[in-house]
Amino acid sequence: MSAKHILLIDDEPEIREIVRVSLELVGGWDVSATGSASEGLTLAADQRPDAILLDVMMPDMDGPTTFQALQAAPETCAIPVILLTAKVQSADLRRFDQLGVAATIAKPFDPLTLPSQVATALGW
Amino acid sequence: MISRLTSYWTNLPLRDKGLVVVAIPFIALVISGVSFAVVEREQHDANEWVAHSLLVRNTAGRVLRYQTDAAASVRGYMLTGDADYLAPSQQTKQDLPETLSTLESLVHDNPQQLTRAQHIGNLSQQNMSYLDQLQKIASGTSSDPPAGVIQQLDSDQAALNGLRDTVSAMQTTEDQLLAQRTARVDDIRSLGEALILINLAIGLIGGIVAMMLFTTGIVRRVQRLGGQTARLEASEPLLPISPSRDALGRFEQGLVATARLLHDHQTALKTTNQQLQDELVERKRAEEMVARLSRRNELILNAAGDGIVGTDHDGRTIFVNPAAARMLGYRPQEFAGLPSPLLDGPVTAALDGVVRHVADEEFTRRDGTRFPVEYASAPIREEGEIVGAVVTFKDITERLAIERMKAEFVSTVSHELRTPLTSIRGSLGLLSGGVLGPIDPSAEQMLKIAVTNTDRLIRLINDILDIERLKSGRANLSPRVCDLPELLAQTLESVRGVAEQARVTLAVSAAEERIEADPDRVIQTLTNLLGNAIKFSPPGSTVWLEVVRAGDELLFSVRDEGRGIPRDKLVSIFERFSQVDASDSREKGGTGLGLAICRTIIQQHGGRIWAESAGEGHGSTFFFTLPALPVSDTRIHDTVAVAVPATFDERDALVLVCDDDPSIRRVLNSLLERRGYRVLEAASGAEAIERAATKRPAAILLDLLMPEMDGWETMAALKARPETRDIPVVVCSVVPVPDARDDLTGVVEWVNKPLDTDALFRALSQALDRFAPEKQEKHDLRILIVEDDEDLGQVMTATFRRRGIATWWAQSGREAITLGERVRPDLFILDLVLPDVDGFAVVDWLHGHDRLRTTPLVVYTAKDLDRGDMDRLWPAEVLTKGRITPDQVEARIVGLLDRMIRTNTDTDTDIDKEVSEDVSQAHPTHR
Repeated sequence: MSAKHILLIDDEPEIREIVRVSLELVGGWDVSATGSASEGLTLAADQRPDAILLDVMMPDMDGPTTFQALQAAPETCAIPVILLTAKVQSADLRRFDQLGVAATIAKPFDPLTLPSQVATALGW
Repeated sequence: MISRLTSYWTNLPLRDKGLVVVAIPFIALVISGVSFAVVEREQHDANEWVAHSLLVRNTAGRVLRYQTDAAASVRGYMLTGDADYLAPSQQTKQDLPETLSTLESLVHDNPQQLTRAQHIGNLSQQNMSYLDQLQKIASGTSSDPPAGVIQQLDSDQAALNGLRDTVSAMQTTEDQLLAQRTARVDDIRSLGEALILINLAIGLIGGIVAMMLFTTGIVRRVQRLGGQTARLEASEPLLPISPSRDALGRFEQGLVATARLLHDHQTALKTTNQQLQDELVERKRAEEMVARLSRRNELILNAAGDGIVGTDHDGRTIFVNPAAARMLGYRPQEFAGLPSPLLDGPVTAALDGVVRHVADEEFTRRDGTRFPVEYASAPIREEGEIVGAVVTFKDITERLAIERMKAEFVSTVSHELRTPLTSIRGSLGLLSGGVLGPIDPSAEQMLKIAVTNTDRLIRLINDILDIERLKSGRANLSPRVCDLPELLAQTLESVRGVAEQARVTLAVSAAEERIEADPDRVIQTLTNLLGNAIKFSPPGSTVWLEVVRAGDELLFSVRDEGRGIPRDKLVSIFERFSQVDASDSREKGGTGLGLAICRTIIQQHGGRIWAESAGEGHGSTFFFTLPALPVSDTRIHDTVAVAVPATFDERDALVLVCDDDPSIRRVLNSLLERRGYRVLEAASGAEAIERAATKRPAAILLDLLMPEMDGWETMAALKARPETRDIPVVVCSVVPVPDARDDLTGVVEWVNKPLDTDALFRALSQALDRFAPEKQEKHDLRILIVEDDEDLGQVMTATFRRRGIATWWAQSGREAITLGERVRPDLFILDLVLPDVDGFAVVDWLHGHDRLRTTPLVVYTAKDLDRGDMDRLWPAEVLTKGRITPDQVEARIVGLLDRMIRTNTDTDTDIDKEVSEDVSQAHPTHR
């Protein structure tokens, strides 16, 4: 059984590093990461990951917008997306829910449990 | 006699009194009058007699004089022959008879004098006749010879002398009489004088008496009357009122009565007057105050920053304060009398009797622009009738702006703080979790510190932001109807792990109710309170969560047996950042905001939250209320034993982790160690078997997909060896749990990767739980034997101690109670016949004891018990000495203990059975 492949889109390199380590070492998955939303869209279309972890606050295109772009493209519309964000006030959460993402995971997170949170959210 | 007279006099009518008073002098007067009259008569008579005597004397004298005059006159004629000399004799002749008769009549009462008077008469006659003769002689008319003249003259002289003598005798007698009579007159006069004096005296006395009577009977009484009146006037005590029934007395009584009446009226009038005056003063004062208040109110209204508009019952404006006018863009005058279209909604509602308080609304200015307001509108009532409306409002543009800024700030801060914390938490977590390689123990310690505090910081930020949002109302509560049991279930899910780790039992008792609340927030509150309770509870104790209905509220209570809260902190602990002990935050990992958040949540739901504690060392109970929904049927569950006990010692349990992947091993290692387990690692199946055999771990975490020897083979090998046969195995693999579970012998639990840590620990707990009876008995089970018989007691104690059960032995009821309190055993074995107290009394004490009432009780007694006794002892298990052998007792009790432990874990009975089967029958089905 091949490991799952997750695409990570977050503009903070440090966070990318941590998430990568967490998902790879603790979760046992493959991770590709990028700091740019637009690049992320391209990678998503090319690599067809099993899931996308998406940051919300990004300079060029924010999470929800990126998500909508992903949904718009046929290659990527079926990929489940999990938002990873520090903006976790109820108003924000409601807004994200309404978008149709698979889940929203709050920052800061426990890197040791992040994989299981992701797995639970995606039903893996 | 005197008193009768006195009372008679007193009660005599006034007229009569007057009569008496007047009568007395009158009588005196009459007396004197009469007496004077009498004296006067006497005096008159006496004077008459004197006069009489004088008259007699004079008359007699006159007679003599007449005779002598006549004699002289005749003699004179005789001498002169002048007829003029005869005049007196003529006179005498004329007057003599009358005089003589007069004389005779005067003395007719006195015979002696009468005789003399007659004699005088005779002599006078004689004299006259002689004189006549003489006269005639002288005149020559006499027929007698002239010689006879001398005879005649001598006879006449003799007659005259005789007359003179008789007259003189008469006069002398008369003088005597006169003297007598004069004396008598004097006497009478004296009498009269005396009578005057007497009458004077009588009159005086009478006058005095009359005066006295008058005085006492009338004057004094009138004066007294005056005195009484004066006293009445001066409100002095009165003299005794006259009991007299006469007019004055009655007057006095009437006067007094009237005066009293008048006095009372006067007093009443005075009082009324005073009251009226006071009222007047009061009213004046009130009026002044009203005027002052009215002025002040006007000033206040004018100065008020909020807009205030008052209308009459038709909605026409009757009052507008400057602020209102200004905010609405009008001049105050322009408002008056107009219906207020701007405030239509609020005014109409208020006139209907509705009180509104709207936190955000928009009003329109005169120029058509709108502005946000917060307003309150209410009807004005006068004696129950609505006579107008009042609307107060304020422009909240600024406030809204500030709130928006705050919200933005919070959101920004929230994000800005969280971002670096994510990196910190992440990197620290990875390091500390051993994911990136092994770390020096001391370094690991440091990392642990860093991770813990980072978590704390994150929680703190979350709490601060949470409470900020709750307080400002931005954390919109989304209340909906929730089932209480569901909420509790979710709550318990989240605290179960903490409770287990702290070795605290949770006991829940809840009514089946529904509430309208934000479920997340309620769960947050309960979790917080339970978390606190668990945090501050000593290991082995219980935390109770109860929910009962109280009227139209539900009362939640969380009770712990922890260290309690001092009385003076019971209220302040709900404040932000307050903890009972300053060291708590560090030790217990609290943020100091939990209770403050709970309070905000509960308050926003319309409930109350408070804490009670008997003091330090006596535990505490937190209560809160939430409005309950009316429910048609409420069934109160019996104490639902949603007990999550940790009755045995998980700590120090040795767990063997077998996985070919070192990073996984490391992760599991750190996870388990954080939980308090000791970890042994094996990189392969072979290694696992070897290490398991030597170290005898309490459980094995086994990966399935391993090179050389896979999990199945390893398991088979483990079961084959006697030393490792009984060690429970928890499969930890990416391979999903197979559907057909009948060939899963030896597997306690199956945990999937990626790891759900909760699931993992639950599995481990179960594994350790069920299969480490020795461990249990060695560590935690405690029995208290209450038996007065020395031998039996010793034997029983030894029996249980041999099995590794901590056994205490009490030989009397009192000792049993003392030890029971102190030791808190898991089981009591009680003899009913004790030296000091009745065994039943001990049972009663147990049943009444807060904590010990749920402790199982075995009654081991020689007494034969009847129905009533059995009822009393229920629910204790009763073993009767003599009917059952000691071995059986032992077996029974051990069985009981076993059952106790077993019922506390949710076991699957078929796996139970599976395990006891012969392992050699196991065969793997998966590759």
